[in-house]
Amino acid sequence: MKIKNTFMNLIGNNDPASKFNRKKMLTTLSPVIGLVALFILASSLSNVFLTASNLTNVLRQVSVLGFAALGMTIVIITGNIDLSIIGNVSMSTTLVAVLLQNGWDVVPMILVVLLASSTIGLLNGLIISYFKIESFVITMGMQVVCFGLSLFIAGGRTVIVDNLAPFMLNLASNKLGMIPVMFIILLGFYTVFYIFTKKTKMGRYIYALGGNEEVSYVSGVNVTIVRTTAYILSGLMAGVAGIFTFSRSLCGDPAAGSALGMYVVAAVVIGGTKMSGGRGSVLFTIIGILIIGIINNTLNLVGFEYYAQQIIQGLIIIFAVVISSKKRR
Amino acid sequence: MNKPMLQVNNITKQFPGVKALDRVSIDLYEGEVLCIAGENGAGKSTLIKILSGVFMLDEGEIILNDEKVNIKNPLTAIELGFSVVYQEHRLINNLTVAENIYFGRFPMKRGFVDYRKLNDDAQQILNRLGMNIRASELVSSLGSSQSQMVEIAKALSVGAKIMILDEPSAAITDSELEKLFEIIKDLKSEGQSFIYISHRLKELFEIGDRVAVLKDGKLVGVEKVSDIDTKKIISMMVGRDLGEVYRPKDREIKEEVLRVENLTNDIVHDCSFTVRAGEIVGFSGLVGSGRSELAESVFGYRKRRAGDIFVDGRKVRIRTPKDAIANGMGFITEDRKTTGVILNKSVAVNTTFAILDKLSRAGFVNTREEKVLVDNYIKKLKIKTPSDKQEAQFLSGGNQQKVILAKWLLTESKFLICDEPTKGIDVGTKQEFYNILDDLARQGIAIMLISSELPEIVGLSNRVYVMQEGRIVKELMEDEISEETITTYSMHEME
Amino acid sequence: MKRSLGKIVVLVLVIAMLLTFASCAKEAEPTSTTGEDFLIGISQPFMGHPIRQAGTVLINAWLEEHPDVEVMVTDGQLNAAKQIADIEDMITKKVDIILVAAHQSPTLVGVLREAKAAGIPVIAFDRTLTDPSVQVGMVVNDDYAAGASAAQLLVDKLGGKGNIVVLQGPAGNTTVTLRQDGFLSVVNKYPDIKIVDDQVANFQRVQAVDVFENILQANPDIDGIYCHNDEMALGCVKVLKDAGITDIITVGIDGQKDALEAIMAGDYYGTIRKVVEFPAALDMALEYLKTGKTTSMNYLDSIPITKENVEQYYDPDAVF
Repeated sequence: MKIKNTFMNLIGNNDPASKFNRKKMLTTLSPVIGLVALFILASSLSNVFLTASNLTNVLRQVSVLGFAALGMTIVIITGNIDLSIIGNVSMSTTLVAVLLQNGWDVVPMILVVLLASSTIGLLNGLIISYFKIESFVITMGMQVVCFGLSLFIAGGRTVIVDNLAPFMLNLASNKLGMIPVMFIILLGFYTVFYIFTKKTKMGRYIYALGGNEEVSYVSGVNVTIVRTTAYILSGLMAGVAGIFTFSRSLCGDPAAGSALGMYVVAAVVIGGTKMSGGRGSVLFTIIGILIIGIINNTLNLVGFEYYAQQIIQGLIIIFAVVISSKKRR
Repeated sequence: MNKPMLQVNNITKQFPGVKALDRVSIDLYEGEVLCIAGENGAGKSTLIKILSGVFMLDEGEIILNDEKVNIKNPLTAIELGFSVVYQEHRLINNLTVAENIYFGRFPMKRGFVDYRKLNDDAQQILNRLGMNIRASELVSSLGSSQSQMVEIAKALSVGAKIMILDEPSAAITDSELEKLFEIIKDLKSEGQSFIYISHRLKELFEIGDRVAVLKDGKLVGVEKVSDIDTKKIISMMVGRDLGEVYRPKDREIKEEVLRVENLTNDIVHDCSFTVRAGEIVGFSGLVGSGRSELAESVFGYRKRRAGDIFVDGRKVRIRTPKDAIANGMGFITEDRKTTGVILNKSVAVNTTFAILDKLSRAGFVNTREEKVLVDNYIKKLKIKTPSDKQEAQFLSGGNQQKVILAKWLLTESKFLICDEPTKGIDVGTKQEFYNILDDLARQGIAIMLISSELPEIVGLSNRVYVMQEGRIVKELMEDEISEETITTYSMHEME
Repeated sequence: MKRSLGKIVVLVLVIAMLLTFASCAKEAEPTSTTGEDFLIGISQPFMGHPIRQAGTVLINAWLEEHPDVEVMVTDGQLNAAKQIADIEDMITKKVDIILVAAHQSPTLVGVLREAKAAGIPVIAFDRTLTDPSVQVGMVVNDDYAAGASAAQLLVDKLGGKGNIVVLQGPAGNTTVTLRQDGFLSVVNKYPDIKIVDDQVANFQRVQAVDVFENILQANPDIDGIYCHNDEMALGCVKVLKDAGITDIITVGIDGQKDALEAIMAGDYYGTIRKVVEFPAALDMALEYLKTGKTTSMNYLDSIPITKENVEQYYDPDAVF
């Protein structure tokens, strides 16, 4: 009972008395059940899955997706979507490379990259709010703009950096015990965002915007600011994802973000956040990225044919959306 | 009238934790209008949903024309002759009236829709109902009452033997309702049976033959309408006798709080009015006369083309609801679900939503202080909820409305717009609301009350503005207010 | 509530089914457990190009002859992060040797060093590695040299002057960069050769048709075309043929079968032969596993093919 209460608090609902909440807990728990089942399945299919080095691999492999999906979660909670993330990640990755190549120090480099990526979010938010256009269309366009910008920044080719600072060189490979530092930083961001969405005024406005934009407006909330904040955070996380993408490959690939593809949305949705907005939790997006990471890892370990892998990856995305789709009566 | 065509025997429907219907038995004769009365949650809608195949019954039986029937799904319900006209419209706006009436059953000719036959057939039904609509018109161009008639036409076209009207008067004005009653009477004389559900007891007496009263899922009794009166029905519904519905209006009216001069927007023209502290000012008029649109422009929710707004004698700039709230306004909108509460958020979140600025330190919401405030209002307004964490969607309409009211009381509004505040709320809660509004006025709040229910306007208002086609056509002083005067002025030019 | 739980269960079951099915299929293969068993990891950058598909055919043929070897083939899906993860998974699975064709060579530096540290040898195929210290051998085509040869072929034919257009592969791709740099290294020596347009057609024939049609509209005065691969060149050849133009010289790279046929027919001027690295790379891998060394570290030659010598390279049974 005590564990359950703690759990209910975690998902922001501390009234175990209500029958609705009991149902809700089961619904909310289903991604966790899925993850556990998948974990058991993976360890029975491959004898190397449970090795420490492989688990470290999985955590490292999901980290970049984790940063991008965190921003996407915030935007989806507001009832919008941000397809520009993968373009923004590419742009940030190449920007990191170009700045480092031009001899910038790590700290100013990070600040400039995050500023640039957040600006993309700012533009998304303002354009969607002022012209009242579907976020899908605007951010799709912004994605293409970002891919174009990253090619422009990179001069059309992969940027290779000589004499990397040790900090950047080891950012992705450092471990604390068997846990990659990258993943620990990821958990840090998730904690901060969790507190932000659940405890602050702006967090409430973000959930309320997805719950009912009209009510927010009538209640005197400046919905433009709320939406734009969500997009700025999404842009910011795309920037962080870009920095870690660079640290993982140590070069600026202008197409780096396309690796994330539809997985960003899929991770959010598998974590139980509803596309319709207003519901969900950033914490459960971690479950989403782990599910995707374990599936991709297992497909490789089991030695699937590459075409079968793609079919399964596609099916996962379809299933994710089916799960998220609203129940009909 | 010897044998009932429909017998519902001892039906029970159980939902988790609540018995929505408990051994309820009702019968219906051919050519009869059976009214069903009861507060929200009494089981009226569950009963309809069972008859229309949305829910399956747990126990009991339904006998139609001496045969036991099993209503498995909405399709069998329609085939058996049950047809529901719902309170919210279920027509497809961008199709024509004829297409809506015959939706899914288009007459075909050589593989194509036979539009000539479609329109002719539909027109015939419309004529039979005495409706002045062309079958080829788009539904989007119709008014609410006309759409409702189209739904009735649709029900007739499928050969409904039992027509169930769920709160038909909710979306239409009194004169439109009269027209509906005429049609019901005509059809009744042709042998059509009706089950009629409404919160407005007056209607039951006008149209009903018998009335069945439900309370907490149980049948309290079935009475011939000619044998009973309003007080009797209310006492059956609430299980107690109600006293006087409206309190006296001896409020102390003070200085002017709001003055609007020559306000014009896309719907209303050149409207000027005032509301003073401690005063309830009624706004009456037909649906579509621009009452809500006027209120929306005052609150900054609808764009103003011209006109000035003065609060406490000072001219203020109101371009968004945020500006209005900053000037001490609150707005209980007509449509709770789209502009009132956030359904999937808790009572607490909804209640404090407009005062988070005051309730936050460094951006963090002070949840301890919040809980105190919310619990206080749950007690004060008697909001029925298991806790402040309950999601608003699980509250009844009346309690959702109280949450919205609490939200505006927390902003310390000195001017409160109430647009149809008791729409779809059961009798007991309505009474509570009247008392609350009176209390608020006595505390010095200026209240703008918009309502389609004339007794409500008459019973509560100190002054009434009557609107017609976007203009204020008459200001009635307290001693002039009556249902007759209001109706006269709202109809004046249309006669 | 029950439904969404049900959906999760269905999802898990379907995945379980697919995985079990696949592992059964794997087990059905004969797995001899003699001491000579080898597992070779092959990390491909992308599976959508004909040369990769040809590779698969050649790998399978080679496996028929070597029952003691198994392979783990991964598809990088044209993205660097996926390829890094693929190689990481190979390291965890403890393959005996890794054959890798980099999608973006610089991105693989870190992970290949990890492989080396884990004691797994690496052989580069198709594309060079940024850090050659990790490899025990390589079987690659020299894309820079191929670009240069293609340029020479075109310049010579044009007599050192004329207007040319370039169709590039996907921007940012290593092969593209090399084929472009190699090409420019020669062309820049001829001041009378003018590049009038330079566009991306992503190595794809269909895109090349669209792009080149537009270029032709804008620049009627073209003497030569350089395409980063045969697929795009064959797209241009089709446009020229449809328009009835015969005086524009088209040059590409790869030397795939239908390109050679176009050369024989006289529609296509010339290409630079690219050799599919299989089975050479597998032979080298097996040699290393058995003997601990490789005999050669080689670039495959860049041979220009025109109508004069096409007969000697054309093989009607070739898979590429």
